[in-house]
Amino acid sequence: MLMGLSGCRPSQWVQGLPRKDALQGQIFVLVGLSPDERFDSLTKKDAENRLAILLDGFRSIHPQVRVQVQTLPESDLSNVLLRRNRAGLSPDVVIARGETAMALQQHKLINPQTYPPGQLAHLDQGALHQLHLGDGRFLGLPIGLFPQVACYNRKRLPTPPTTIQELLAPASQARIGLSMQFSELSWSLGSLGALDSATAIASGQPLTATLKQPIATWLAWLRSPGLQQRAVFQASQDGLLEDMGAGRLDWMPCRGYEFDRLRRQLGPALAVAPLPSGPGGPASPYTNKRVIALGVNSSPNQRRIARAFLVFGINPVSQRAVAMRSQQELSALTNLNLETDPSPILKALVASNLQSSVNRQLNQKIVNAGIFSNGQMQNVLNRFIYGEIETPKATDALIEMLRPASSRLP
Amino acid sequence: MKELFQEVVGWLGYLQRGAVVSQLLLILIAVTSLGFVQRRWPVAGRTFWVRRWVQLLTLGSLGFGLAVAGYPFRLILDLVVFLGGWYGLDGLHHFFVKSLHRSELGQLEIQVLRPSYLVFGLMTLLRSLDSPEDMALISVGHFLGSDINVGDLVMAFSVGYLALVASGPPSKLLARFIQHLLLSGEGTMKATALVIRYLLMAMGLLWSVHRLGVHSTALLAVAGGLSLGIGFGIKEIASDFISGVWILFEGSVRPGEKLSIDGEACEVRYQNLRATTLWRECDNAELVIPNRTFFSNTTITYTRGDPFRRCEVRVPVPPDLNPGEIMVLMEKSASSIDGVLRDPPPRTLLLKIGDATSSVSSIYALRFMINDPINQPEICSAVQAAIWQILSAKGLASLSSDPVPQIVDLRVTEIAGSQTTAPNQ
Repeated sequence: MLMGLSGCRPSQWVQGLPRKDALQGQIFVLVGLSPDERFDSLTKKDAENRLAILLDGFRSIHPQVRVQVQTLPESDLSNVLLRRNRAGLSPDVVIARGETAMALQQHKLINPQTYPPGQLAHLDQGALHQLHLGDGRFLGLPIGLFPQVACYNRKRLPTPPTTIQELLAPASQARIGLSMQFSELSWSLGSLGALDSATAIASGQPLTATLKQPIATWLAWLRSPGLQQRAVFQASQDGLLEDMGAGRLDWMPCRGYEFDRLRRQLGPALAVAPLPSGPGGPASPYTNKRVIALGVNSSPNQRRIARAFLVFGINPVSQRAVAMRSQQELSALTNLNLETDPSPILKALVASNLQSSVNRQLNQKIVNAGIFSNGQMQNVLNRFIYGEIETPKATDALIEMLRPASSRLP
Repeated sequence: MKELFQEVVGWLGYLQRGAVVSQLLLILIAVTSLGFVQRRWPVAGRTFWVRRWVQLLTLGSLGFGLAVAGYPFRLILDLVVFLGGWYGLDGLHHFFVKSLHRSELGQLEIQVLRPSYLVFGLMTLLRSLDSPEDMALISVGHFLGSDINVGDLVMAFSVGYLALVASGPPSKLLARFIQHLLLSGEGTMKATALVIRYLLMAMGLLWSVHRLGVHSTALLAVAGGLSLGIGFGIKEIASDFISGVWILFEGSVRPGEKLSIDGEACEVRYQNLRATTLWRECDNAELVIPNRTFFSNTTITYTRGDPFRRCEVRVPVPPDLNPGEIMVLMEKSASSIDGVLRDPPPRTLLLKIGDATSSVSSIYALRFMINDPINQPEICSAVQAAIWQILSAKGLASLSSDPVPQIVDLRVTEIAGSQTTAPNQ
């Protein structure tokens, strides 16, 4: 009876395939929700809906497989997995952001795997590089991309601002929302011309006045009267989304997984565009990678199903279905052309993802050094924006944290 | 609800894992074998505790063995911790047994501590099987236009349970604290505890109802409907309820107070919003009296102002005896009885001078104060017996054959005594 309830059925043939080839059983999939997302029933439903597109396809070819989906804030993922691993009850599949997956791997909470080169050939190489462990194994595979874009209220802004100057022009009257998190502000490094300096500093190049000046300019922009008069800074995306949904903001940087929440409140007034360029060049948004990885407690049968699910997740048909139907994320496959799609949302996502490729080098270094999750960096930015420290001091502190550990001052 | 059921049934999928099954089997073997030993060779007392320790150590060793071998072990460890805590509650029982009344301790243990610990244990298990935060968001249906999820339901039930059932001990604790601060009496403390408890219950229930999505407008609508019902059918219950609240705040009848009901002294035992339970000493009966009785009838209380009650015993004595000597002897005999207050001292009055020629006795009245109104009949009896003894010892025991002991309830007296609570007009 327990076998039956747990999803196993001792039949000889399943859906025309010999039993040994057909997948049957149950797996547990744990989906981590980004720290930017509020953990409530609507967000949970949104995350489950995104995954449902993939699950529907998987079940259609493996009807004897039952998938139990659980959701959890990514901030709790390490502790929960540590506890559940010790009980033998950890999930078979974990879906989370790339940085989170790396943190889980450091605690050996996920199970790295090797994959045939053919399966990896068309995956986003930047993301793959981030997930490669150096011994031929990958801690997981990229399954979707969430580029940073601009969300705006089309009732207030009929046309999206394409440059920072347009955004801040007195005529636009846009009420701007900005997060104080470095990961969410880094798009403006490119627009303000500080991207190359930041990349050079993060690469360990000797510090010169020429490298330092653009960083100071970027910081000064954050405190400029033009921006300060129009922008609302919030400690988290959650507060910005609330203000935007309530109509108190007209423009804010956002990501695909936040569209549903905004759409529920703004309806068709919600529109999406690439982030604005500036005097220093195009914007340099950071694209979040959604990674799928295997758990450590699976039975051999569950491991087989989990791996099949993982491979299914990166096949072109599934990837296209997820991108087209969700209109929130992009495919992790580089050979999947979504630019021809007429949807303006997908067009904006594709354009933003292209922009993000210009700062891939910086992002790689920043992510590897854990700067996005560095509390000290965040503290410097917060204190600077609130005016507790001045630009020169903040510039020095920021540069010190961007520099590789080996070249930092003792 | 279907989603919740599927989620729970889905946990059976973990049974596909050898590591889980092996932990469960080890637990099963350890628990059943120790249970078998206990049934076969039952023991109690210290040996019983030793067996519990053996049980915990055995399970702990199994978990440790699995951990050393690199296998998952947490299920066994969680069980050891849970059982340790459960047995520890017995220890807590021994700790509190001196400071709490037996019935209070029983309530605290059965209604609060053990259920809370059980919930804690279930949550620990749930944390290993699933994400409680995630499960809390599973929808279980709609109620008055609001979406209800598992988290709302569990929280509303838990807070409602704690407010209704488990608010007693904390209310008493808080009332005792207030009593220490204000140096108030035991009756005030009990009334305060009751008021605090009802406040907690009301707040808990309102919070629970609000958590389930019933907003103030809906509550007002329900209250409107109820008021109609009250007008037609349940006005007496409503009257009891309002009287109960009024009496509590007025403080005219409180737990611990001594009242006179139908001429019999009674003590207020419990008071709830519908009725008050009194204990009648003479036949050890409990009277459940609707609260509106106290609201609309005269209530005689002996303890509202102070606990003193004045009693009077009338003694007929042959008229030829010296009144001065008789009065001194009667007062002396009353003073020797436990329960009779020395201050103010007992006083004897000569109410009527007898007539020796026509064998009419002189009537003396002995008046004395007691501070235990409930035991008034026993004290009066002892006083009369003492009077007889002392007069008999002096050779003056030729009491009249018609003694008329009388307990006088002095409602209007200069000396502190009982008070009368008039009905509210």
